[in-house]
Amino acid sequence: MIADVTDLTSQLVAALKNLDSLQSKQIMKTIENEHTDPYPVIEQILIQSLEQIGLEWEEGTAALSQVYMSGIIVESLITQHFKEARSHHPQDKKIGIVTLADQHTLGKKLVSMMLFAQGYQISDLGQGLTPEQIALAVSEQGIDILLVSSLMLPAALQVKKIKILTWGFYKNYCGWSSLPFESTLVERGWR
Amino acid sequence: MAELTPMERVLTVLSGKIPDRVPLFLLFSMYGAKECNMDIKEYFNDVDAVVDTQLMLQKKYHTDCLYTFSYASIETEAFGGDTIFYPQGPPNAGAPIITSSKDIDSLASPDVASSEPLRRILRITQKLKAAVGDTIPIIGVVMSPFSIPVMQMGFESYLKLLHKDRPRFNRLMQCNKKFCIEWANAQLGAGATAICYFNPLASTDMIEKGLYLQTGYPIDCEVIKNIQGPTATHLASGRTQSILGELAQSGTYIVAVSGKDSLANIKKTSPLTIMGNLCGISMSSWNKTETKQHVKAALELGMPGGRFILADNHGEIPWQVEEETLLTISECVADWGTYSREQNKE
Repeated sequence: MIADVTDLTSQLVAALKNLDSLQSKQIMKTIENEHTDPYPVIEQILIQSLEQIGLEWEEGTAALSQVYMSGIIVESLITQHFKEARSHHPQDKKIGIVTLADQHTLGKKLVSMMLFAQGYQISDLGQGLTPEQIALAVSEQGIDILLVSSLMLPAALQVKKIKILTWGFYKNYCGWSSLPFESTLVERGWR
Repeated sequence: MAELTPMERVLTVLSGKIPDRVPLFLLFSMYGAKECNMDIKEYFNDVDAVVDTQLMLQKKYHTDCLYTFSYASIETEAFGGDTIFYPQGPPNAGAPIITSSKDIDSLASPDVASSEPLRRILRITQKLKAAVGDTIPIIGVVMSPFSIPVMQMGFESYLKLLHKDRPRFNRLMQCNKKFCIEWANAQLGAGATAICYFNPLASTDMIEKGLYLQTGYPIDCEVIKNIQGPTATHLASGRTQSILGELAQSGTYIVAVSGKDSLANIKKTSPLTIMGNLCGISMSSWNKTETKQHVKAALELGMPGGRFILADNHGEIPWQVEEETLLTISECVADWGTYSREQNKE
């Protein structure tokens, strides 16, 4: 009997939160043994598991350290075992990621790991950049989709400036912040 | 009940009795620079400006403490690090002083007396103490040995160390512990009434509870035991509820709780004095009506039974908060934060 994807995802979430890389690998092996084309299933379970742990962090039932270490385990599983087999997400847009104005890079790393797990290629534009430097990098590197991370409130409020500086040649932004529960930032910084 | 001095009010709360009104801690650090129209770096370098501004802010907003905190990375400056200043926000630690985990093997605990930035804080503390004596609590600040590595080596490197290199983690903790105790006691010796013990990584938002209890918690308990004065454990906006029982056993006097915590639940379960939990980030966009709503809600949940200090939830009023908002908070405490005669007798 083939194990249910939802069950396997729950098992993997538990293993990742316990930082149990051996159990995580065992779950992957179970899928490999049970499916003739296992990699789409593996990819789906890895992504759903990371998303689930991220949601649990927002709700207060997982810690940031678990989000990070889960990403590390998943990254390792992919690079060590599924590098050749994994599908690369069809990507006609160039994605850039940057930390705006401050030096807190963990958020950027977490999002990068998540996108890596989904098969995306990302260009790291750096950290501690000003809106002007980011606008220049976007233009020079031909970035189509820009992911902006910020931790400090004044930095989060500068996102508007990036939009103004790139107005007319750039339309795709995705912002997040370490202040995920603060809804007023959407109006004040991101729109 | 006759109006108490801020010190009497706070001591009454800490003793479990009902004061005349709820104490208000508006924790002003860089906000002082905004109030006296100075550059943040210049302000923190100017002992007299900080002292005068702290005294002015206490009178202006009728707060119940003075706060000697400047910025967190002043401690990593003592370890040889530097600080990046921004025009309208809190300074950040510069490049990590520990660039490889091997650096920990030769890391030495800095001497407080040899650090000019720390001596500056001690001078501020001494001058504030000379100005107010025992009438207003002076709150000093230290970073927990368990949390300061985020600045010493970067968050990612520290998480790897914590999970994968316990011997070096232990060595780093020994080094940080010695410094933290010495730094806290130096501030108490200079006149600080209590120490705000910042420990964001104790929050289950940051580190899973089991790992914290196994690693950081015994260190925090030991440090708090060796600090020769009362401490307020502050998780800097991190949720407190699920670690509250352990914090209560750590020897600390006060726990600062997050805006994301339920003040009602916390009050039901905590034997300690609770400080909080107005969200500083959203506070920076509140209008007058919203300010009143938030303060009223916090007072209604926090006041019953005493043991409550109204404060922001991060340990620092953001630069972006309007003066009018802070004045409104102060007015609300005067209007709604007074305990009745019946409550005083309870």
